[in-house]
Amino acid sequence: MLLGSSLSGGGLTENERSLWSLQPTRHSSLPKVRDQGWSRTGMDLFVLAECEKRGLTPTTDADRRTLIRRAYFDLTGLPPSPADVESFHNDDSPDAFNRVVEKLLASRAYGERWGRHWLDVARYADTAGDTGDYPISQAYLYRNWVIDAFNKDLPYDQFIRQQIAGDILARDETDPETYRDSVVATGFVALSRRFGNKKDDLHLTIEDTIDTIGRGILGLTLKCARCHHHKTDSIQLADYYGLYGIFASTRYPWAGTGFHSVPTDLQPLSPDPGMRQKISGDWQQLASYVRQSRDHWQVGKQAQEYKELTRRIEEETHARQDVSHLVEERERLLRKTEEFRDFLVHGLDWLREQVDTLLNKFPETPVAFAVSEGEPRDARIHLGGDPGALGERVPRGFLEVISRDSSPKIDGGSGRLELATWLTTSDHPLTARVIVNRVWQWHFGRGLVGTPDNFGQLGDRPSHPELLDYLARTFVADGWSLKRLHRRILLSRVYQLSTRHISENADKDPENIYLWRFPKQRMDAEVLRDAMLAVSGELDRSPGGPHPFRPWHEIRYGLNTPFQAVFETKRRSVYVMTQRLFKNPFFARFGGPDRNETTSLRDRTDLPDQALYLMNSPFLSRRATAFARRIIAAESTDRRRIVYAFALAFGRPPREEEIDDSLQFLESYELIQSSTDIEATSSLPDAWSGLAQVLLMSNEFFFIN
Amino acid sequence: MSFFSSTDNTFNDPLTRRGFLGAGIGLTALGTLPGSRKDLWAANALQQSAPPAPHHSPLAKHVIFLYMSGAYSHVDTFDSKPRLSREHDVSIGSTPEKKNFERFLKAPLWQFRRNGRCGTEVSDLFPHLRDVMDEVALIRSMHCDHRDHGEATLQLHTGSTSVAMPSLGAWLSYGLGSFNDNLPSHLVIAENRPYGGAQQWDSAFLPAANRGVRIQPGDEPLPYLRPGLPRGLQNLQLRLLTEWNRGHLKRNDGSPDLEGRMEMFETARGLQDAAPEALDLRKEPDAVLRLYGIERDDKTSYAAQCILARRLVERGVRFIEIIDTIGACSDNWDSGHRDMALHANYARRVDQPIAALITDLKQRGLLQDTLLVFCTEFGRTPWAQSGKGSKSRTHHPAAFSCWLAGGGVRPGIVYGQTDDIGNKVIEDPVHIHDFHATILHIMGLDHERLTYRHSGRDFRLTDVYGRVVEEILA
Repeated sequence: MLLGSSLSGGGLTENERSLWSLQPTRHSSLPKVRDQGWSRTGMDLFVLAECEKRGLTPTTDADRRTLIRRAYFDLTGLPPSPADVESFHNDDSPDAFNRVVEKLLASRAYGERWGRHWLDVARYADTAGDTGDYPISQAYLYRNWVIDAFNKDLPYDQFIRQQIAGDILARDETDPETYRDSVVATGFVALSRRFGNKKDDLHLTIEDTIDTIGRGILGLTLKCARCHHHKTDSIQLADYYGLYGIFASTRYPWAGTGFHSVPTDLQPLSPDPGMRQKISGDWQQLASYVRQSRDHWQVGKQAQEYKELTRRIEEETHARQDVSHLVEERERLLRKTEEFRDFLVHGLDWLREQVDTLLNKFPETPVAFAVSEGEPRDARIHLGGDPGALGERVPRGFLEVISRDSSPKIDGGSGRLELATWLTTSDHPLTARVIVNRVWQWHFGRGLVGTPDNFGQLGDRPSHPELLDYLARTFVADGWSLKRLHRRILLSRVYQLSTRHISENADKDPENIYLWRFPKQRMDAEVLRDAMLAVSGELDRSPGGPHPFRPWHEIRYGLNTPFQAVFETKRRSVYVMTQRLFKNPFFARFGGPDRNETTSLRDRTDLPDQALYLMNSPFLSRRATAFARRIIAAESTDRRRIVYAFALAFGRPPREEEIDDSLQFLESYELIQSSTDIEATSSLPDAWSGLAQVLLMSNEFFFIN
Repeated sequence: MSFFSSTDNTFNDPLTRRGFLGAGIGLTALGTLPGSRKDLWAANALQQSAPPAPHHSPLAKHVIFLYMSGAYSHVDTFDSKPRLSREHDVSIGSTPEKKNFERFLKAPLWQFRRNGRCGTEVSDLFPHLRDVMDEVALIRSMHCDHRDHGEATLQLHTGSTSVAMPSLGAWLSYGLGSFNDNLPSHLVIAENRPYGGAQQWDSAFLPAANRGVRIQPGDEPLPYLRPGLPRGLQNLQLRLLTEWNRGHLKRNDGSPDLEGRMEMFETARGLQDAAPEALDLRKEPDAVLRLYGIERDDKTSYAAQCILARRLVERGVRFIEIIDTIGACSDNWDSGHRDMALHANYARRVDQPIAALITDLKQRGLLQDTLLVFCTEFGRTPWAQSGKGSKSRTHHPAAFSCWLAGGGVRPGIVYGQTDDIGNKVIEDPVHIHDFHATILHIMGLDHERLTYRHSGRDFRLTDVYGRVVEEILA
């Protein structure tokens, strides 16, 4: 019944094939508008045309202080300094904003912010998600690769190709750095979630890979076709298992699992094949010894048997009897227990000595959590999604509905290289549309397609279809450059609108889908944390490296003793260690991304436990105290301190009444404090800290106009 | 007038600016922050995705979910199998999957006896529970899909053995909302981290307001509940915050986003006021403490947790789970490679408190509105784990026992049957999906209609399965 319909091709109806997002992007000439003078860029014309069509009048332009705060948070995730704000405020030259945009795009903070966006898509985490939630010490290499890729404006097509097939692309590479980057990039695939405490749920890991590519890159819910043809989209079982075969032919690295507690298949980062082989060999040797010395309990019975056989062989040899059958039996036992051969033969002490020796002379091993080519093989369909019930074999391939005669043919390898090429052909209908829509969403808070990871039948239709195609086509024509796309958006008039409300517009378009004003943005979890640290003057701007995990040969985790840690740091949030099973408490509380599957939209809920944290947590209290110290140190009068505090937190000078409020607050705070029991209050934050905390809790700090 | 002394802080006021007050403000002016509290625990979250109303009239309003972590043995507790005693140490051979392993039956270590009123048999591990079996619908035909603790625990809580999905409590909270504006609708009392951690009460793709909030019994049950500053100073802060947020709101022509975040502080303040009282057992009379068998000032025992659960039900919380974990598996119901006799320790910990909870709820007229769920992730093998005479039993997802009591449940019955050694279900199987469907049904929700659109698909707690076990409903 399930396979009654044909596996591919014929199953697709015309209706399914005609879905808007599967059609080639269309060129449209710039639309005609009534208000000729309003637009600054082509993009503006598309937005204005839709506004005019609906009788919506674009609102006023944003003032300079608003605009620079917006641009800083948008491009770097950090607030502008008071000096940045004032110099832009006082700069009347026509290219002042242009220069700000260039400066921000060139800053390292840009990659830290926009790389973080991509890490949402890539369901990045520093742990594997198995029942022990094994830490992946090398995951940070991929994270930093993403940040660097944004900073150097690696064209998006290459960005994708490297993440899918960097190891294959680098095969003949001789430059160490290029080789390293290319292999590290496949962390995108390698960081797929792990399950259970053994390695026997690989089909779930591959499902995650396919889902992340599907929703993340293609905007399609491919994984719906794991058990049956997609109910609403033109995705067939054969499409799913065609892709499945590609990843079943790929070797995934492991950080360890409950039953196999050492890392395997990590990829050496040397372009020299001989060196790679050596590193792999040494690594495997060490890993095998560590594993045996640690997991030997799994073969306790076999070890007993081995001992017993050896004893008998010795005895009987001594008695000059024929022991060949015993020797054979012992060999059989060793073969059956191959993984633990050294343990059986040499025992634990010997193994531990070997481990110590190897560790002592072992060089810093440059390895990455990256994938490599496995045994190429087509997969069989899992009937009803059950990997134990195998159906027809399906040739490795891509989505039938988008494939062309010109699509690359898979031969020899896993097919990842061909998949990477197929995803990034310039006429692919989805790849460019999906990323420009995401970029739009990351700038405006909502995509032109409101469902960024679903461009299928059940997804939203684009609010501005021509604009989406215009952006997608110019993006590809610009060499898939994200920085050019940012410029195109930021230098538009639409981007520079204020958030000013217009009632007549709101009646017709209450959700501002047609962008008659700039949509107010809210800080996501990472920005909130970074902004508080920045305003308090405590933010450590140095780039993050590896996390302080204990060395792999000293640890073991499992169901009952999973890895769980929070590593405190004052670096930017993108560098904070995050886990799959155990969420970082701060990011979990403030709606951070799901680290277990690709995230397209952050939860924007205001929850009381967030307020409790802001009111009562030591984190806030420490930020507020540092913030207070900072303004006290910088200025000598109360009034000027208040002015500086407002400049840091809000990017504007306080109003006269706000200064009065602040002064009154300070006075009352001290009064209450002095009338309360001294013992209890001596350790309390002082009045300035109390005031600083109010600024950090306020809506004006949290929302970005 | 200034923000210090204003008494009408409702956000619907005209947003006029007030003057300021000079120095010399008295402490009396610094009362609590009056708030509108017109919304739920996460007002804006619920508005964004309006919860479906109950699908039919509910049989109960609250759930207390008593999860015994580690998997108790059904054949030592609720599923009497005389053959195990008769044929102790007798082999029943091996299975095709494990040809080299011979299964020797193992007798339970405890006597089974009947409840005098309904006749349900329970072993001597649970003398107090046996006494209240006439309130209980016992299911002896549970089964689930996975034989490892992590996966099976996840299934018991979310229906899924692999990817993280919203938990039962999150679905109930999403589907029904709360009765109390000042408390979360979904609370989980967990002394120690259970298998899989917070996944067990996560909201996953459901709105975050439905995520379980963990209570750790003791002096600081809810994180950050205790004011970071003395109340007077915090009030001062919140007044200034309100004043400035109002000015900001006015300059931004009003906005639901801004108001929503202002309400967040109001609700938090409500929680800060309401939660300590709800979580404080000091006012419980001696008679109650005696019923549960604890001393005054006990804040952490399982009994104290049961009293806490009752207090939360009284205050309108929808879903309360108590996760019975003492430590990790080295110290819970997991008896794999451990002596079955250890079950006695864990049973003693929960037996009287849970029986007392039933009695207490009944005396207060709350039992009819409260569904009690007593459950575990899987059963234990009828044979010894490591060959003849060994002391432990291993994981057994094919058959186990759980029970329901209270609102909507037919009391004093036994449902389902296993074979004569408790190996397989032979009558009326109840899969975890059926168990979930039944719980939702009792709460007024149709498990096939309680759905949420995520990544292009409508998800539900029971995936594409689930049958309401009508036979155990009153």
